[in-house]
Amino acid sequence: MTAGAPEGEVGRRAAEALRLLVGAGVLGEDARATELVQLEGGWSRQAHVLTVAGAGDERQFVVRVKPPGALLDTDLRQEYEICRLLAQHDVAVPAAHAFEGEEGNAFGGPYYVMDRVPGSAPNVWRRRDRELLERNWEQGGSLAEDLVDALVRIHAVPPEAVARVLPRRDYGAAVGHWAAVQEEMALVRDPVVEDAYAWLGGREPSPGPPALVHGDYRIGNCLNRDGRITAVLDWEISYLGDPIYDLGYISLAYEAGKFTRPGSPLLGAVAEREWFLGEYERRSGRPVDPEAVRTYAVLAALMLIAILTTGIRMYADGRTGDVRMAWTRFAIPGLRQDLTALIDY
Amino acid sequence: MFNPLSAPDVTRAVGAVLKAAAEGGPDDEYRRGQLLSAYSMTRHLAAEEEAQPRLRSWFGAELEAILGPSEAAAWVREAEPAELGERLCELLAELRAAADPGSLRTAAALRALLRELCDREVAALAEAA
Repeated sequence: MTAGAPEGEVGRRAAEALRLLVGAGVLGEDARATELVQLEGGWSRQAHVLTVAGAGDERQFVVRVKPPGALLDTDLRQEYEICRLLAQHDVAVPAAHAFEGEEGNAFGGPYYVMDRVPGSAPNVWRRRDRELLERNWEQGGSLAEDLVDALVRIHAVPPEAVARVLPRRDYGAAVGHWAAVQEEMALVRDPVVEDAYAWLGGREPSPGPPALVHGDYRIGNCLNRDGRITAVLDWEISYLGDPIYDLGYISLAYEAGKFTRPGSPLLGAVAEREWFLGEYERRSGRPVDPEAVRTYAVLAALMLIAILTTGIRMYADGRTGDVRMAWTRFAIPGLRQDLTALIDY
Repeated sequence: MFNPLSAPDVTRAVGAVLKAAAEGGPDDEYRRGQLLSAYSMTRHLAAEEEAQPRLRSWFGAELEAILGPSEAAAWVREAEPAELGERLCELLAELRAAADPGSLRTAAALRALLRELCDREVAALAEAA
């Protein structure tokens, strides 16, 4: 698309997002949209980059949309509100400016507009990206430093502030939530998955103080530039609960790039496991029980399977034509294998 | 082996993408992602289909060794993977509920077998990579 006023459906969307920003006082009346480009499709959200010219400079924003039939039926307004809250608590998130929840808007679903933050997100399932991350660790680990630091900051946000925005979900509620999703969405029953849920039933970790749980915390959900993390993204499954969940999640082999072949030997493809867990414990002051991390890693693998199962169900029912949802059936065997290893079958 | 979507389901999914590619799509980046996913599906499905007969044969023999050559084991040879998965779910639930030493031993043996099955299935799929 060339610079100039976007036309047609794209133009209608650009104009609507621009009006929202002007209405929120972020832009002046003289601002004009020069480009709106949809990024590669996300799994549960769509993202468009809006370029705006005005007063002699150019700014870029991201329009984050929850499309109809989104993979995760989570509340976009909560996601917007938590980003607003985090900006007040020294957590690196894009500034979120305005929310549009009216039905029938130009984007086809609720959306909010935030700043576009410079940087890119690594894909740990690509060998080249894993090699770059491993090199960063070998050369001092600036990304590992930032990743553990950002997690400590996230978990330090006052829980009473988080409680005003997000639901509280204790261990039993978290296990029950994903078990219910799995049961509702599964096309076939899986003996390993069902046995793993039973295993979790007797494994509740000693509850510590609740905190903001990101829920999908990994390097692939962080933007980085020049070896530093510039923003933590994708807050759609965040909640108030046991923060050790985030450690279990990031310690999954899957999050280090395993699919059917092993990924990086580093935790999350960024740091040695002992270093990361030890640094988290030291910086946060929260004790890290390896058995609790193991329990939450099992829950995290089950959560991923439940989400993949939801996409597969949506494809099978004709609610989406996105073939990636069907493709994810090939991700389940690796996660099932991780479950058998974690539970020590 | 207990994976959702059968081989015909996946084949139809790939076909739908190829048809959409032939007809044109909403935007190039999205369509490219769809085609690459479909390509990946064909490779993984081929590996899965090649491995399935020997996996089922091996798994059936091992399961029969655990459960004995009884009616309970005979369904392994007959059942479709989805039906087999369902029966194993029921069996493991019964063994967990019983919780006597014999049931716990049988459950442990079943879990060890399932772990080996997972390892073999993932190794077979890795051939596609």
